[in-house]
Parts: sequence; C-alpha cells; structure tokens
Amino acid sequence: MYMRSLWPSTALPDPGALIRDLERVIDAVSRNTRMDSWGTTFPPVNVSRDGERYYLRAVLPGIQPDKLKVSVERNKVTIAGEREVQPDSSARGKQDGERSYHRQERTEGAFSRTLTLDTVFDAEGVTASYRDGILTVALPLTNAAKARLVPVQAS
Amino acid sequence: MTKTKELQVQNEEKRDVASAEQTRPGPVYRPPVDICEDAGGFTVLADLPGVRPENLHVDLREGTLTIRGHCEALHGEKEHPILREFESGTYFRQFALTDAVEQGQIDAKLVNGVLRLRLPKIEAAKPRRIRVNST
Repeated sequence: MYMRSLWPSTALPDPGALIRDLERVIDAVSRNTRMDSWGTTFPPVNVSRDGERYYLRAVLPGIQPDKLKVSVERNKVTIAGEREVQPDSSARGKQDGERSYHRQERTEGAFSRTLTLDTVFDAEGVTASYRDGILTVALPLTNAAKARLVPVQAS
Repeated sequence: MTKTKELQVQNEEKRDVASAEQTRPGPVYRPPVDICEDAGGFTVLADLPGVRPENLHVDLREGTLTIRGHCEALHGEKEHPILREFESGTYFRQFALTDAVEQGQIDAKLVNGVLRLRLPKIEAAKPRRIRVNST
C-alpha cells in the first residue's frame, strides 16, 4: 500500500507498456510497407476492353480458387477473398516439428476491392477464371454499349 | 553499426536488380519470399504471379540459388487498356545457400503463381538426438 503511493502511476508510466506500444506501432508500419510491395491497394488490378468485353485482371498469387469471390451489380464488380501464406501444409513438414523463419515477406489476410466501370455490362454473361495467380473476369458489354457502325443514307 | 548493416543490405538489393537487367524489356521485380527452416531442410515460397512454368528458371550454381521468372503481358493484343496497376516484367532473386543443403535434391513446384522450393539438409546437418545411457 505504502509502495504504491510512492510510485503514482500518472507520474511514472510503466516503461514496459511504452515499449510495447512502440513495438505495436513499428509492427503496424512495417506490415503496411510489406503489404504495399505491389502498390497501395490490394490486389493490383488491370482493366482493359475490346469491342465485346471488359477484362478485369487481378494479381492474386497463391489463393485457393474456392476462397475467391467475384460478384457483379450493375456497373460494379467486386472481388473478395482470403489469402493464406501456407508455410508448409505437407505432412512431412509437420513431422519435422519445430520450424523457424529466416524471412517472412509474403502477406496474408482478407481483401475486397470494388471497381466501377463506366458502362453497364451484361451481368448474366460474366465469366471468371484463375490461372498462374491471376484472376481474370470477362464482362460482356450490353448491346447498347457496343460500338455500332451507322449507315449514312444519301437522299 | 546498424547503419552500415542497412547499407550493405541495400547494396545487395541493387546488385540483384542490376544483374537481372538484360534481354527482356519491362520492370524487374524483387518478389516477396518466405524462407523457413525445419529439422529436415528449408522451404522457400516466392510470389510470382503471372509466371508460367516454362518461363521460370531456378538454378543453382556455386552455392547461389537464382530464381528468375518472366510474366508475359496479361492483356490480349486487341484490348485497349483502361486501368493499369500491374505491369508485366521479370522477377529476380538470389540467395546464398549453406553447405548444409543437399544440392542435388532440390524440389521445385509452381502452383497458382507461387513457387515452392524444398531444400533438404544433408544427413550430417540434421539434428540428432543422442541417447544417454544411465549405466
């Protein structure tokens, strides 16, 4: 009791707590910079179009296809999912017991990104495929959005 | 002291990129990797999105492991780009291996744009439990 009054908590903050706070900040900052190795938003996306479709390609290495979700609504496309780093899922790795990391640069976690395109597309005809760590979503243009050659009539 | 260490790391990274610069146009990426060690060996995981197995080269020479992969253009020729956040290019990274690795038995797999290398340790480097006899 007497000891506690000698060391009021307001005057002397717990140095351990300070260090822990600092560690948390450093950790958050370094995690963010690692997350940013591809850019500011995850996943990075390329969008292009030809006369028939929009193509959205998202760079998403190492994802189980069943963990990927693509949804469309009017002129919006959302890609969401979860990435697991999977250190070593093989039975052999487990048998070997303890493992230690020399480098840990790859990131994991849930992500979601919505892109709004400048025209409505045909939601029924949207297809998605995943290959070599790239998710490709093909969004067919509606007939109204397709370029059309208008015949000019001479009178 | 810490400063010199940082500098060394930076130099190394620069050299990596410089030695990868040849043949193909486009950016050279330093892909993120995880390296973990267990009793039987090392596992290296590297993110190489867009790389097909035929465009990936993993080689081991004089104790240096080199990972080099090329990502072809993602879009078709007739497409007009609207948004481009990712540019296809080359992935390059090098690591010095310890003598503890059984260099003839390295296994490589490329699944969904992630390279998984298994580098088994030589028998002499594996930890062994020595039985203690009481008599």
